[in-house]
Amino acid sequence: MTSLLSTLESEVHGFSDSSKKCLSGILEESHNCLNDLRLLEAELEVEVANDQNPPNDFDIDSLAKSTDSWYKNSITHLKGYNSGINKFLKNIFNNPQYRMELDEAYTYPLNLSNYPITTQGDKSKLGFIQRENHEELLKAIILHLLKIGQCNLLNELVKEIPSDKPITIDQTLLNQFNLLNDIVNDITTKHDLTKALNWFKEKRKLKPSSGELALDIIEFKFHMLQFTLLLYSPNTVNDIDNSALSAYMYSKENFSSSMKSHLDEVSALMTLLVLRRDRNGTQQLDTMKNLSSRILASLRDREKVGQTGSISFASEILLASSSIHSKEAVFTNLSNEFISEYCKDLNLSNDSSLFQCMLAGFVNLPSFYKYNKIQMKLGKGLKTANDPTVASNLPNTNTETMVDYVSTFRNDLPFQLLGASSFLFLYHPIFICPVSKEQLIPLTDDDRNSKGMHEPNPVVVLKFCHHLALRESVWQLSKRGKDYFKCHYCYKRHKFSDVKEAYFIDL
Amino acid sequence: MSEATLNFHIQARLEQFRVPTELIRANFKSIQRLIEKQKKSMSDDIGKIKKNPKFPPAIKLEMVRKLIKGFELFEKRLQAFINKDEDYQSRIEARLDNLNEIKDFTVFKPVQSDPENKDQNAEISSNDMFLDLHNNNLLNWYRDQTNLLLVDYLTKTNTRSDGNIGIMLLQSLAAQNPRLLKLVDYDLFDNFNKVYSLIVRNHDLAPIVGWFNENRNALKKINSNLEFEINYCKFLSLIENEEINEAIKFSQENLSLYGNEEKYQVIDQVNRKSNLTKLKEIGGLLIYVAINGTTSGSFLLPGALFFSSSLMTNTPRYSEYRKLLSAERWENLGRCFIENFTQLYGISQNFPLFVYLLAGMASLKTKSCYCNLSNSIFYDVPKETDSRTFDPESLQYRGPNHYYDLLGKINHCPVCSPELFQLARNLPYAELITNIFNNPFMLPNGNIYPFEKLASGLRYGDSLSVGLIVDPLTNQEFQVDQCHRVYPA
Repeated sequence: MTSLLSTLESEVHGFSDSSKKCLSGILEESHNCLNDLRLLEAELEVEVANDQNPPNDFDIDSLAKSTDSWYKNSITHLKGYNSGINKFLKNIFNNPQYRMELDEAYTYPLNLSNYPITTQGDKSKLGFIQRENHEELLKAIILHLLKIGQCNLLNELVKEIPSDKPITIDQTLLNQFNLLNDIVNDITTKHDLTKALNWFKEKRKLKPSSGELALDIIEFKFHMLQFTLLLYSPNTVNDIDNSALSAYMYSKENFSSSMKSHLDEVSALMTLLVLRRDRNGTQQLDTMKNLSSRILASLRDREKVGQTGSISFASEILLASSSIHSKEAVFTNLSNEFISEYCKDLNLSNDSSLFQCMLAGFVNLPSFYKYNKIQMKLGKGLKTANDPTVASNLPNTNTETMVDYVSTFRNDLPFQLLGASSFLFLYHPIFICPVSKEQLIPLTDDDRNSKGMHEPNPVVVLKFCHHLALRESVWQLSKRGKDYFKCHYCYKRHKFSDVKEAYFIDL
Repeated sequence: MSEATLNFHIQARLEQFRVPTELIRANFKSIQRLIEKQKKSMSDDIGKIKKNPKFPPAIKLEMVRKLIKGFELFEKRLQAFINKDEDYQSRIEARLDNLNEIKDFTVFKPVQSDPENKDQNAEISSNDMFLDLHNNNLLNWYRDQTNLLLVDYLTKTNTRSDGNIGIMLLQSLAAQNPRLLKLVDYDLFDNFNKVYSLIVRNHDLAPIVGWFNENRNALKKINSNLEFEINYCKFLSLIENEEINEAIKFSQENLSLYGNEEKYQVIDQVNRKSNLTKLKEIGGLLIYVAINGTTSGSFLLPGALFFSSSLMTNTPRYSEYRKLLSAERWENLGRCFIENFTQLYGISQNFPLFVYLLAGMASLKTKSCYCNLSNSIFYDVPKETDSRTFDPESLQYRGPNHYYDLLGKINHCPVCSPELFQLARNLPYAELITNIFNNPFMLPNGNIYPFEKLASGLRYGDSLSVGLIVDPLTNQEFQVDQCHRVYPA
C-alpha cells in the first residue's frame, strides 16, 4: 500500500535517473567517437607530414569499427531511455488510480469562450456575452494583481481589454496601489518593514482619537517582527551590544502602549535580549522552544478576547529567533495580512475576490467532480469534449438559449458542500427556513427583484417563542392565515397575525 | 459530498506532469532521428574512403576533417537536445516538489472510504489525507496556484503580437518567486498561442503546417483530422483569391484522397463522414465563384449575370457558400488545432482557471449576493445618503446592498464583487446551511443584530441614559426590554 504521492515520487526519480544515465551515456559515446576521429586525424597529419607511401588502410577499419560501436551503444542507451519513458507513462498516466479529467468537473460551464477572443469574432448573442464576460474576467484579474502587489503590468493588461469604452483607473488610487506594491516588496523580498510601519504611523495620525489606545493586532505583529529584526540585524552580527540596544530602544518606544493587552508576548520577546548568543549569533534552540511553549500555554485564556493571532505569531518568531531571515513564510503571511488591512482602508474587500473564489474552487472541486461522475453513470452528465459524438449531437439551439440565462432563485446546486471549509467563506448571514428548507432572499432592489423573479418572502419571528421561519412557510402552516398553527420547533400555538417580519443586519 | 484530499490534488494536477513528459518524448524522437541521420552520413563518408584505398593521405585527411566537422556539429545539436531534456526533467521534479509541499499541510484524519464506491479506489483512499485548511502556508500555496493558472490562461489567450501578456506576468511574479518558472509550460503555450493567432488573425498557414509536420506521427495516433482541415482551408483561400486553376489542381492532389475509405482508420468514421460532406460541396463552390466573380472575369460563365439575379443569391445554398468563404473557416481551423493540441498533450479542453473558478463561484454564490459596485475600482459609486436623513420605516435600506454602505462596513463576499457577480450570473446557488452571527438580537423595528455589537454601542453612547439601545442603521432609540433574542434554529 503506497500512496499516490510516494508512487509518483519514486516514478519521477526513476524517470529522471534513466534520463541522466542514458543521455550522459549517449554524450560519452559521442565524445569517444569524436576522440577516435581526432586521433585518426592526428595520424593522418603525421602521415601527410612524413609523406609515407603507400598508406596503410588499417585506420579506416578501426574508424568503421568505432563508428559502429558508437552507433550501437547509442542505440542501446536510447532503448534504455525509451523504456524509462514508457514505464513512466504506463505507471502514472495509464494508471487508473491517477486518472481524473479536469473537464469532467466543469459541470456548469461559464459563459466564457474556451478560445482566445477575437474582436471581429462571433456576432451571435453567445459571442457578445462571452466577450463581455471576458472583459469582466480581465478586470477581476487586474484587481487581483493590484491586490497582491503586482502593479507593473497594469497598463499592459488594460490594453488586453477589447473594449470600445476604454477603462481608466483613478490615478490617486493607482498611486496607493503602487505604494502597496512597494511595501509588499520590501516585506517579502528585502525583509524591510520600514514602509509598512510608516504607513501605520500615518494612519494613526489621521485618527487622533484612537491615539493612545492599544494597537491593532496586525500593527503589534509588525512591531514584534521589527524588534526581532533589529535584534538579529545582519549588519550588527559582530556588534551584539549595539543591536540589543537598538532593539531595546525600539521596544521601549513601541511596546509600552500594548503592555496591558500583550504582556505575555512582550515579556517573552524581551527575554531574547538577555539570552546569551554564541559566536554565530545563534541561541540555544531549547530555550526558544521552552519560551514559545510557555506563551502558547496562555493561548486558551486569550482565545476569549480574540487575540490568538498575536500569540501564535510571537511563538513563531521565538522559534525562528536568530534565523528569522530564513523563515520566508513569516514574511509572506504578514504581508498578506498587511494587504488585507490596506485594502480595508481603501474600502475594498480584504482579499482578492478572484483568489477567494479560486480557493473555494480548489477546496470544493472534488464535489463537483464526483457529482458529474455520478450523473455520467446515470447517463445524464456532461459529456467530455473528447467524445467525438458530442459536437455533432449538440443542438445549436441549446447553446443559444442558454447564453443570456440568468439563474433564477429556484436554481440551486443539486448537492450540498461539506461544511469543513465553510469557516473560510463566511460572507453573509445565511438563513435556511427550518420548515421549507428555502434560503432567505434578503431585500435587494436590484434587477432580479424588479423583474419579479421571486415573491418577497422575508423572515418572520414568532411572537411567543421567538423562533424564526420564512413568511411563506408560516402562511402555509396557518392554512393561509385561517387557523392556529404550532411553532415548528417548540409547538407553541400562534396565529398568522402573531408573526412579525425581521431583517438580518450583519455588523 | 467529497473533500479536498491530497490524492485529489495530485490527480487534478497530473496534466502538469503529462505535458513535459510529452515534450520529453518528442525530444527523444528528435535525438533518435539525429543519431540515425549522423550514422547514415558517416557510413556514407566512410564507405567513400573505403572504396578508394588508393587515395593519397592528404585527401583522406581532408575527408576525415570533414567527418570531424560533421560530428562536431552533431554533438552540438545533441547537446542542445540533451539540455532540453534536462529542462523538461527539471520541470517534472519541480512539480513533484511543489506537490510534496502540501504533504506538510495535511492532517492525520483517515479518509473514510466511500461505501457506495467500493472499487479499486478503496485501497488508495485508505491512505489518503485531508488538507489542513487552517494552515496559512497551505493558503499561500493556493495563492501561487491561482497565479499560475492566471499565467496559464493569459498565455494561452494572449492577443498581442509584440509579446505574451501571460509570460510578462510570469516574469514579474518570478522576480519574487523564481521557482514558478518551472511550474508552468509557458514556452509551449506561447507557441500554441502564436500558431492559433497567426491562423485566425493573419490567416497564415505556415506555422500550423510546421506544427503538423513536427507532430505528424503523434497526431496520426489520435485520429487527427488536422491535415484535411489545413488543406481544405488552403483550397478555400485559393477559391477566394479566384485562383481557380490552382484550386482545382490542389484539390485533385490534396483533397480527393480523403474521399477514400482507406485513408481513415476503422474507428474514425466521424471524420470521414464530415470530410465527405465537405468534399461534396466544393464543386458547387466553383459555380458560386463564377456567379460571384466580378473582378477577374476570366472564369465568368456565359449567362452568369443572368444567374446572379436576386433569385439565385437569396437561396440558402448560396449563403452557405458565402459562409464557407468567410473568415469563419480560419476560426474553424483554429478550433481544430486547439482540439488536436489539447488532446496531444493531455491538456483539459477548458482552461483550468475556468474549472476552478466555476466550482468556487458556484459554491460561494448565495441568495444574499448582490452586485456590490463599491468593491471594485472600475466604477464611480455615488455615496449613499447619510443614514440619519432617510425614513427609518423604509424597508429598502434593510437590504444588504444598502446597509453595508450605510453602516460603513465592507462586504467581503467575492461573488458580490461586480466582475465576478456578472460571471456567476448563470450559475446555480449553493446549497447552504443556516449560518447566522451569534446572539441574534431583534429590535422592535424588526432589525436583527449581533447582540455584542449593540451592547458595545450602549457602552460608548455617552449621551444615552441607561437601558436604551440605538439602532445603528436607523438611529432609532429603543428600551432594552423591548428588544429580545431570536432563535434561527
